[in-house]
Amino acid sequence: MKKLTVLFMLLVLAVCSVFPAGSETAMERLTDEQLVSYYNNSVFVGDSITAQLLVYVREQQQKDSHFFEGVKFLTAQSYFLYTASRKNLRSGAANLKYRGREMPLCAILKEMKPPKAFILLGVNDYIGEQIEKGIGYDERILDLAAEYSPDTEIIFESLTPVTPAFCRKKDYRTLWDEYNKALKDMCETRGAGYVDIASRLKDEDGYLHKDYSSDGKYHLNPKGLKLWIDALLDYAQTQYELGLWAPEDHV
Amino acid sequence: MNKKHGLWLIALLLIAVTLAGCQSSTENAPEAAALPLREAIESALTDKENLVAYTADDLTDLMGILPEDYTEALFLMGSDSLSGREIIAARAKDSASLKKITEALNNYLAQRQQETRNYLPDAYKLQTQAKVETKNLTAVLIVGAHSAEETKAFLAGE
Repeated sequence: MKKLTVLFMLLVLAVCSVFPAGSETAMERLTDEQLVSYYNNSVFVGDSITAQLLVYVREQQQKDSHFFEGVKFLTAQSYFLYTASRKNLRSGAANLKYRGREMPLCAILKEMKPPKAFILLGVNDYIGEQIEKGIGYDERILDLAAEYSPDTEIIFESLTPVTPAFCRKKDYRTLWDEYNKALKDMCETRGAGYVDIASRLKDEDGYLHKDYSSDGKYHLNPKGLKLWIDALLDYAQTQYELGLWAPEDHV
Repeated sequence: MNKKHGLWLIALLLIAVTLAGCQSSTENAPEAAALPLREAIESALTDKENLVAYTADDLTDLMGILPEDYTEALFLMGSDSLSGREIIAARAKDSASLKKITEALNNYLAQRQQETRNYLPDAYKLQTQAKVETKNLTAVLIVGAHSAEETKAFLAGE
């Protein structure tokens, strides 16, 4: 029996030496508090969809004041990707406001100098119908950011999916997917960040899941917005696992 | 005057002095302190459910209203941000600050209307009916189906 025990222990030791401990192969999941700190002083830029995220974040902050604390939002209803790519204001269309003044995105970034800017735009442009143009606008945003606020990291967020009702005239579901793929490719080429928030919001047919829609088109309800937050936390975890970022309190 | 009458006279004098003091202190008393802004606003709203409080930073970033211009401010947004429902109120520090705040609110309202005009017709309608109003050093902008009544009720207490 004694021999058997020794043999078993030797076997365990051998296995351990071949397969190192889990902590060395897979990094641990950071706490939500740590992951949220990735977004400190970041700015979220967008249209009415991101405006909903702003409301959601402020609502959560009433329960937990540290929830995405210090994150800023630059949103305008019906704000276009094209408008964001311009050096100047666009007359007759919605522009972003900063400190009460309408300003182009690049000028705001120059004043704010945020460490990271997360951008979700393109729905108002129906950008899936003009993918090449859309990617051109995205690249122009990168160029302007590099010129006006070179230390700001630009991270694009995927377009959120749409409902079958929104696709009655045209299959925007496929067009949105094609645009997201092109956006992801461009981000990889240009070294920009890309957060996929679309995948987890889809149903089995690739539409916006009805449980996450607030208006039966493309706006999200609190359940959908929670999944968006989850995607952001996962993105921060990925950055940590890639060794690109670590929370300040992390040894 | 005997001793008894003397005591009565002193007592009456004391009562008179006390009453005079009370009256004078009532005349000089400041007006009843205003309710905290949030309480004052909520007491005037027809529906105070589903409103989310934005921060002082939001007031500055979105409207350019600076903390040094007000003693109290409040920014409430409808939890469905597409409805157009929002309430902004501020108690200005002085008349110069009130002017700045009023101007900022008017600009903000005009910008919001531009955003929704061809996009959210219901919100746009509410915004076109809304008005920035002031009383004493308070400015308020209420957007909603009952904005006129709510504004009147709120400002009555300011």
